[in-house]
Amino acid sequence: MATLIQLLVEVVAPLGFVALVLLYFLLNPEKVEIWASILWRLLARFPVLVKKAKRRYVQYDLQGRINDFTKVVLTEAPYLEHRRVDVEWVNPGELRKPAFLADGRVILRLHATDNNDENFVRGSYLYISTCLLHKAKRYISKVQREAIDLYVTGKLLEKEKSHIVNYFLDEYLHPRTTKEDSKLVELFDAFGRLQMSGLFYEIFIQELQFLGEKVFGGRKDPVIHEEVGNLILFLDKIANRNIGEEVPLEFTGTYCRFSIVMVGKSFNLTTGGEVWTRFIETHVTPSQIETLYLIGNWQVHDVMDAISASVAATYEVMRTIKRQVQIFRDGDPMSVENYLLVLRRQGISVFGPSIQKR
Amino acid sequence: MAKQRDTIHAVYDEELESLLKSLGLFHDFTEGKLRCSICHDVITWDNLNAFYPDSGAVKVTCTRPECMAELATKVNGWAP
Repeated sequence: MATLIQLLVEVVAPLGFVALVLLYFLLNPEKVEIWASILWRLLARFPVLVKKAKRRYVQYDLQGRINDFTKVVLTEAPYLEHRRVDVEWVNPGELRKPAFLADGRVILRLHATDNNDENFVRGSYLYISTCLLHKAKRYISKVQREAIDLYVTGKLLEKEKSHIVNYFLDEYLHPRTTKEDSKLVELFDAFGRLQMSGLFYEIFIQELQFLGEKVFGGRKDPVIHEEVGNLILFLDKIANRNIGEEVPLEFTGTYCRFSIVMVGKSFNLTTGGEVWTRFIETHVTPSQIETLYLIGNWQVHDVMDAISASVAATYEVMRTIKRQVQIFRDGDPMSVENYLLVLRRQGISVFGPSIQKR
Repeated sequence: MAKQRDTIHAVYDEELESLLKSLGLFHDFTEGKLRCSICHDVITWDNLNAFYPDSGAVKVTCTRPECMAELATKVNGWAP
């Protein structure tokens, strides 16, 4: 680290502020796109440039902000495919109907407008609904898929253009709170609770990604709809438990098989976390659990790292997350800093169901 | 991890008429006969959302959220 700092001081500092800015933009191309959109919006005030500038503004605003959001998502969910988005204008003069039919692509209409919010909502929703977790979404139910798309698009808007979140919810979610779509709202609310409790939303998305890898290319199986529904209920129950409340922590479906191990009861706590290591070796390892999620307060992260080292022969660390989350004590919410270790069983196959169905 | 690229193909308002002509939809559009492939509402300048190919034909959707959700289902061949 010291060498790196020294290198930066010796090499970058003499080049000055401009070099640092260039380096920043080189590492963050989505920021370049957002700044370009702001620049084009300013240029649209000049009559001679107005047509071209508005067009560029619409293009870079959508492209840059989606890329900015996906970059943040990837820091939390690095197992998702890293995709960059480009917004490309089609040239109607060159487009022929047979080619359009053969390409199989969607062409989105974007408005020439000073208010780009509606464009942004439609573009974001199209992107999220067609690209995010596309392997798993082929197999889950329509309402599960739509709830995920609405929830993630809402999060994208919250981060990039928070003033339009209410518009989005009013237009896209609230009209669907009728009886037949009430399931969609239930799921949407459940995702909010999972995320507020922090690490359980991560677990949900992670399990969907594993599920997608397992089933992609195979036949559609209604069991998956039920299993994903059960997965959400299972995680929601844990996310909303009171401290000390006993709830099931093992999920053994046909496709998703994981165990959550909470580390933190102080009377059991030793530096090496032997109690938990023993529990994993005697209860988790002999079963067909594929993924082990170790969760605990950040204060005991050393213990959790020791536990993962102790079970390294069976489970490899896929990733770690440190996050401020909300937990409940006697029904009252409180904020704490938690730590999650995702451990995957060594040599586990991602193809085909985890267990044979009866 | 290698970065993959997705492309959102888009048409700008000013070129919408040209695109409708290129895809052979302009006549139906001006006659009020072009309909959303999902909810079957008449497509107008205000509610035209997207074009997509389906079963050898050019289809159009409107801006209703349900139709936009269904668009993803159709273009990805997901379970209904």
